[in-house]
This record gives sequence, C-alpha cells and structure tokens, in this order.
Amino acid sequence: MTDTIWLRFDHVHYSYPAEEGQKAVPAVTDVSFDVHEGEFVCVLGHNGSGKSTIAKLSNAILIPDQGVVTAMEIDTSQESRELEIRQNVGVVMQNPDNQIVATIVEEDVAFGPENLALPQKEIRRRVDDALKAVDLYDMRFHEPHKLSGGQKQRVAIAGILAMEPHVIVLDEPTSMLDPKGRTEVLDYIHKLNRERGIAVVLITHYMDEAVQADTVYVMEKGRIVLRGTPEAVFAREDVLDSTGLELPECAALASALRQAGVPMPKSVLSPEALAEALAQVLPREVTP
Amino acid sequence: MSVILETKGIVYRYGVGTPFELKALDDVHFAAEKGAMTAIIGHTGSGKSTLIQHFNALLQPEKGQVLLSGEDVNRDKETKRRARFRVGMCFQYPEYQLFESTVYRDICFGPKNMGLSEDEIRVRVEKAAGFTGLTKSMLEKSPFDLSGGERRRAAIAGVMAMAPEVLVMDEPAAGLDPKGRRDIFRLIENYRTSTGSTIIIVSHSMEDVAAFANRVCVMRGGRIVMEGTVDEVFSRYDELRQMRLTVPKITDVFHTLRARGFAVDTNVYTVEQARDAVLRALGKAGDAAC
Repeated sequence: MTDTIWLRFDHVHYSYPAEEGQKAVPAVTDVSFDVHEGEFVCVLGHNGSGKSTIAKLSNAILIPDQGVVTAMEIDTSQESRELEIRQNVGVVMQNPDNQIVATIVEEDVAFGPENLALPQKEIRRRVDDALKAVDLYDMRFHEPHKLSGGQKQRVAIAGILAMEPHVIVLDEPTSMLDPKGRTEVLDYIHKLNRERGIAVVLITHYMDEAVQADTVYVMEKGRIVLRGTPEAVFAREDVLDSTGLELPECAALASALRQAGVPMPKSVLSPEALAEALAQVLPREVTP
Repeated sequence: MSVILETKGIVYRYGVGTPFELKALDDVHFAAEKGAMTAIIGHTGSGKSTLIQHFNALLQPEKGQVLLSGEDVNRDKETKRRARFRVGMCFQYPEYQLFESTVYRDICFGPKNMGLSEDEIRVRVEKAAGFTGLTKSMLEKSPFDLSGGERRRAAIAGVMAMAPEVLVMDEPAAGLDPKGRRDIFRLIENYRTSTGSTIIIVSHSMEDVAAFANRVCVMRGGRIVMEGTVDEVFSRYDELRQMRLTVPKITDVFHTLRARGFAVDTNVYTVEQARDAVLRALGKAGDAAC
C-alpha cells in the first residue's frame, strides 16, 4: 500500500430520482474515502445501507449529486471519459446470471476488450491471461449457464480482469453462492490483490469477509459510521450492534467470554486467533 | 413422535436416454417427524432440491413411494392435488414469484385457489402477515415497493396463508444480511411452535441449522448418508470434514483445542454453547446449565 490514490470519494451525496409526488431518499450522504494503490478495502453494511450505490458511483454508472468521485484522477462526471473510467475501475455484481452476456466462456471474457477495439492478438492475450488468473482456462469453451455459481462469478471476474483495471469493485459477490463457491471466489479475489497488485473494494454484509482487509468502512443509512483496520472496527461493538451487522462467530464468542470475566485479547477475529486465545486460558487435560 | 412425510427408496434420474443422464436420487429413505424442524444439508448437486420436489408430487419417482400421512401422494390426480395444499413449497428467492398488484392480493393467491371463502381468506392473510411481520400498510403496497427482506417475507406469507401441514423451504434466508437471516429463522421457528406445523428446510448455513433444527439429514451423491439430531450429526465431525461439508466455525475451534489436549467439550455449535463450555472447563458456574 502506498500513498498513491487510485479511487477517491470526496464528500459524495447521491439520491435516486423520486417518483412523482414522492420525496427523494438519499442513498449516500457525505461519503469520503480513498482507495490506495494495491489496497484491499472492505465496505460493510446491511441490506439498504447504501453499499451498492457506492459500487455504482465508483465507475460512473451513477454520478454524484454533490461531491466528486475520481478514478485514477479522472472525475467520473466527465462523460467523454467514461470508457477510460470503466477500464480503470471494474465492477462485479451480486448475481452472476445478470452479468454474463455470451454463450461461450471465452467469448464472454472477450466482450470487454472487444469493445475497446483492441487488436485481435491483444484480445487473445488478455482473455487467456484473465482465464488463467481465475483457473478457468481449461473451461474456456464451456457454456456459462452450465457452470456452478462460483465458477460463473469467476467468469465475471475474468471479464473485468481482461479490461486490465487498477481497481475491482465487487458488490456482494458471494451472497448468492453456496459455501464452497464463496470460499472459491474470495480466494481468487485475495490472490489477485496479492499477486497482481489490483486494488479491491469488497462490498459485503459478511463481517468475516472483512477480517483480512487492510481497511474496513461500515455503512449505515448511507453514511460511513466506522472506519479503520478490522481489529479497530470490530472492537467497536457498541456501534456495530446498532447497524444490524453481526460479529463473526469467533469474535462474538470472545466478546461473550470477556463479559463473563474470562480474559480475551481484543483482536480475536479468526478461528485461529480464537483457538490461540482459548489455549491461553483453558486447563490441560490431566489424563490425555 | 409420528412421521408425517416419508419417502421409501425413491429413485429419480434427469435426462433419461440422453448423454446427460444423471441419477439425482438413489434409493432415498427420508422421514420428517410431525411438528419438528428437519434440515437437509449437502453440497450443491447432492440431490436436495430434487428430493424436496417429490414432497408435493412436483416430481414423480421412477421407483419407490412418497407417503404423506401414510398415503401415496402419486396414487391418483386427487392425492396429488391434496399434496399440493398439504405440503407448502417455498423455493429459493421466492420473492421473484410475487406478481400481484398488492401484497394482500399476492398472499391471497394460494388460499383463493383452494376455493376458500372471502372471509376465511381474510383471516388467513392476516394471520400469515402476523407471522411474517408485515404491517397493514405494507399489505396495501405493491410488492415491488417493498425492500428485499420485506418481499421475501411477503412471499413466505403467501405459502403460510395456505396453512400447509408441512412447510418446505429451500434456503429461506439466502442472500439476506445476518440480521435478516436471523429474523427469517426466528419467524419460521415461531410459526412452527404456534401452529404445530412440520418444517423441512434446505440450508447451507450450518450455524443456522445448529441453532434451529431438531433433526438433520445429510445428502451426498443422491443419497442420505447421515440422519439424526444436531448433536448426533455434527458429532461425526471427521466424516463431515471428509465430505468437505463445513461445520460451524466454532465447532472447528473446539475440535482443534481438543486435539491439542485441552479439556473442553467438542459438542458446541452455537456461541452460547461455546461460552458455557469454556466456563464449565474453567470451573466457573456462570449461567451454564449442564
């Protein structure tokens, strides 16, 4: 993580256009945050907290009513530079079935670069590279609708990768997947961040997906109510409680034990950390 | 407890006679106890959805029988029709099936098809709305003006309004945030205890299964490979791990600790059970009732 900022929200406000006779309800209110080069950011919030609006604002699908979003230093309100913005910041949506356009996996991945009017050879290179990055190269001739949910979501990610973006924004990419698909997709997202230096904005309501992020932002009613490292954010149970989010089970147990007078460190988030913390307090079996 | 719904050695294949033929159910013996919540777990493709579609005769087995209160649901047209009303189905993402102009009218759809009187229908709708926490003003709205969680509850109310003896739900909490999940499971549990209905639930969330189910049934490759109480099934930890089925994360931690030689129970599946187990091991009474 460096000081270079790849995506910036600067006092952003947004309301969806209201129907006639009704008042517009603000979806996002005064939101500011930066995504640095190579950073892994997690935006947490329950359904209706404004998370998805953040995704749509990040690459000019929506333009702020007030404030500015800049993607790789380009103001997203500059309509003439829309294509450039979307090359730099790619968005993966929740439902894999809503974002697959072709009938063959590799054609779907090629859709983006084809629209950039790149030379044939370059498209081939990018498609192969993207499919290899998510381990779907061997399935490149398959029909997307016959893949599992996790595989479909990986096709969607490959489609974004083929645009060679700096930032990938994922809007609840795992909420429609089974546990296996969920782990699979998360593993690839982390790998892309680690190995390719792609900055990730993971939007989710699963707090356990935020454990490994560099920075966590918690949203409630369109505002950011908490920000910081996962440890710092998860320690603020007072605020989290009111947002309808639930602590990851391991953290919830640590907290329950702390309340019962058992010493537990503040930073227990993962199963490994919980096992370690319990190992410090539990008695050894006398007869093994 | 008596059995209300059971399958006896049912077999079902998809795409018979094509290169894609797939045996989805292979000699399945399933039984649901009256008034209990039974959870069916297993990986995608293990046969869960195919199995539940047999419960109200949406699919007919090639071999074997589906018995509802001892009666073969596939005997004739009449038994099939009865099964559709006695066994209510709530598929994944049921809110996609909302279609009426108001929530009230949508919930009416099932009871209307049963040929009930207007008065009876009104009573049913109000009851179902009560169970699912839908307010009067929500009932007058278009389903499309509700939030995702409210739409889900409206769709569930539509099935509850038919007052089925057995309510089958495929991933009722899929895609909801953690609070939404808990709310859905609590309302189902409340519905079960107040009406005495039998609930069959398909779920991927072991945490929810551990917290709410009375019995658990594990499917793999079109067969039922384990069946029992939450305790009986989750205690077969190593076998579940081998099937690459997850157990609650907390349970994992306690098995790790046990393997490292700590004196702690491993039959813990929820945060409360885990807290009590630790307090017991530390010799603190706490509010641990054991």
